[in-house]
Amino acid sequence: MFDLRVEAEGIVKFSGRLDASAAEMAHDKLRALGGPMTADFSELEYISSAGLGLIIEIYKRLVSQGQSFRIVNLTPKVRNIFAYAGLDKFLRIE
Amino acid sequence: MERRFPRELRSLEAIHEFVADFLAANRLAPSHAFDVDLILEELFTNLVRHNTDGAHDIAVALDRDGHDLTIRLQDFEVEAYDVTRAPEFDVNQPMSHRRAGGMGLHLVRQIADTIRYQYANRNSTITVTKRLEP
Repeated sequence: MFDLRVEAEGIVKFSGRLDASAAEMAHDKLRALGGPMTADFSELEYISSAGLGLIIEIYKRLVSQGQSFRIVNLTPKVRNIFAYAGLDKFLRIE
Repeated sequence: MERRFPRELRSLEAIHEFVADFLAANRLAPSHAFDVDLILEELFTNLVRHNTDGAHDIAVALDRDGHDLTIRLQDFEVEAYDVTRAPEFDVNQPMSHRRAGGMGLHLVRQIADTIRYQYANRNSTITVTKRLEP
């Protein structure tokens, strides 16, 4: 089960499992959000390549609008996936 | 332990439950689920997307020998698509060149120990091994 919660000050809380099925459903909701955005991954249990694709899309859109995008509070497993894909070199991950 | 799943993304939740059941039945730590789920999701979605002419459910089997896990996916009555020959993914490519696809098999290569592809009688079989650290 995946959930997305928009909180104050541009914080978007991701929770549950961001697999290919969830990424499809989250796509439209995220496209409606502006920046700057802080993606809080403290409750994100799982992410696959489809989830990474969604993050790349958000990053590109916000940066093209001159907005910032950062990801915070990743679990070690989720952080590894970003590192395997080489995304830790380009994204602001804290 | 083997089960067949409809070739659609909505099967991923059932596959996740299948993995959890397998780990519990074999008294393996639930923390192994992340890697097993990821390998299965990337390979399963790959079969669904590449073998668009496929009409049959996809068989997923998990087998354990000590700390060695074998994951097998079988797709029936389809054209050959050898996942082991997919081009290497460039992890250094800048964000401007990145797109949503192309990372899945790369992630599987990072996590799995071995990946083997066989094609016979119009059936594709992908076999992955993964050492489960205690």
